[in-house]
Amino acid sequence: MTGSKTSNDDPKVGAAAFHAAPHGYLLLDNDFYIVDVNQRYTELTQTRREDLVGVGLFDAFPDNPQDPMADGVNNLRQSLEVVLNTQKPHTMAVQKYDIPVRDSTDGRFEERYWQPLNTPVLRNGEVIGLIHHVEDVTTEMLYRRDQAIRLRTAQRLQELAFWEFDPSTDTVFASKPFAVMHGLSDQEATFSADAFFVSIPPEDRNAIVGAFDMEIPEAGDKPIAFTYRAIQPDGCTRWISSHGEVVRETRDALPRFMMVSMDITTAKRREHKLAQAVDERDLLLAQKEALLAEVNHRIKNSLQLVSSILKTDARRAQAGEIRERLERAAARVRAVTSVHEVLYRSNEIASVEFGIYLRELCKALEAGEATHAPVTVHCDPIDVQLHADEAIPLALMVNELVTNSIKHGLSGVEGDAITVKTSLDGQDLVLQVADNGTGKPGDAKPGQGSFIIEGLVVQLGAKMVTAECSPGYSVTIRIPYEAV
Amino acid sequence: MTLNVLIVEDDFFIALDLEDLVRGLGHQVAGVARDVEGCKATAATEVPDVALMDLRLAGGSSGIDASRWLYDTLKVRCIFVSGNLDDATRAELAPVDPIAFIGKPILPHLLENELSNFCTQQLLKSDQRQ
Repeated sequence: MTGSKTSNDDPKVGAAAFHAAPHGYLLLDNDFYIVDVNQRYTELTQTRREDLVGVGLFDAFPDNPQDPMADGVNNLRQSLEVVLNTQKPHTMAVQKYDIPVRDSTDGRFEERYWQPLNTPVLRNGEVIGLIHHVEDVTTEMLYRRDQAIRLRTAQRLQELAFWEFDPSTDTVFASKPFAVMHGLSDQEATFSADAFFVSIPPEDRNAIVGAFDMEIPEAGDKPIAFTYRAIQPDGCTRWISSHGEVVRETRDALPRFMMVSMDITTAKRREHKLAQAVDERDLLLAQKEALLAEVNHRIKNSLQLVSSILKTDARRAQAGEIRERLERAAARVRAVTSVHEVLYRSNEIASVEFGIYLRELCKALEAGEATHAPVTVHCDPIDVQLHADEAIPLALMVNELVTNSIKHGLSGVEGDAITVKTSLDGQDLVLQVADNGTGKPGDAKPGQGSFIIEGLVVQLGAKMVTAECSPGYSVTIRIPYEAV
Repeated sequence: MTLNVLIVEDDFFIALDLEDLVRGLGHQVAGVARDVEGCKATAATEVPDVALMDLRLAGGSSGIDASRWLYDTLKVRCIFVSGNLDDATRAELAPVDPIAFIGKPILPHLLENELSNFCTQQLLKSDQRQ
């Protein structure tokens, strides 16, 4: 179609296109007076074309007089002058440039952010005008500002510190909290990586460098995390936990690391104190064990001493009642000592495997020193755990009963035997000591042994039943039993 | 077989009791020592067949040291008599080849058993040598 070529050369089409363009354009002459403005521009700035054309740019869009920080006019003028001088387009940084609210009578301004681009209109190598193009980035800027506020608030709340590490320049950009956290500075700044790393102990530093190095060649953008110590200028150590992500601007360039750090010194100290407390506890437990072993040793040694005193006395006494009494006293002490032996051996503090104990006691009694004919002591114990408070009187009781049997029941009888048996019957522990001897002599006076047995029966809250058997004699004692 | 028994025990009454026991079992008492030095002095002159060794001796000296000296110098082995025979102590004593461990209270029949077992071993050894 040949018609299309004709239309393109038509200046009216050009003008129509200018007005229909989806972006805002302002056409200026070299003195920055507005020559023309398109519809989008008036929409963006909420102005009317008739109010702008022929007006100086900075008269039409003055700085917001209520904003003492406003520098839009100045920045824009500088950019336009750059374009005039260089004859090249110039992109300005995002500008805060408030515009008057349309139809307002009280001269109010509206907060706006712009991304301006100034382009020279050239003819024969001369600038004959300027196109001022703006994009309203207010929404985006306000969004960013809100995000920044959220971030700052989060930082204040959790003491978060943002930083970036750029391996290509080997620099660390430190936000203010991060710079403060490391004692680098009291405001945000960019530091050489060395300045950052110098306060970190070598082993932690190597871990950080290792963590970064590992991420650099990775294809994906993985999270990165490490914890390290930072030595403060005052010599104190801070524990810092860092998390971040790799940012890759282009595929081949070295990535940057966007990091956020948190001071976890308080938590670490607490952790350390806790660990110390646990160590101390273990130490105290070990000391307690050692003390207990020492006390046990002393108790057994002292009881052995008492037993030895009685026995050496007994051996040096004239044969007769005194020697016998000393021997029996020594045997009683030995019975008590043996309970301690079993207590200590089993690492139990308060209870005794009475079955084990009883077997050992019976063997000792069988092999006893007492001057008597060889006798067999059968032991048939049940395995019960008894409190030391019960085990000791019970041990003494067995000692007395068996000794009585040897001395009286079996006196003069050869090859006879004694049976010691324990069993559980309902709530009772039943101890039975029986012999197959001559029985209790009818005219026998109750001796010291019987006196002790009766006393111990009362102490244990037990009941005793004696019986003449044929042959022999048996004693049954029922002791209230409660499982340990 | 009569054994010459060295008693190393710092407590007078316990030592006396052991002496009585040893003699009562038909053996001979080589001497009673209260510490490592006494043990060395007596053992050097009396040359015991066996020692009854307490672990804690007078003046803070140790029956372990005494037993090492006896074993290394005279090849004399010990029956350890102590109220404190835990596993660690037993392990520590393994190098001196203990004959036995007897706890406190000292049960006479146990001592008798150990001494008579030792006699049997010695007799077997001398038979083998012959």
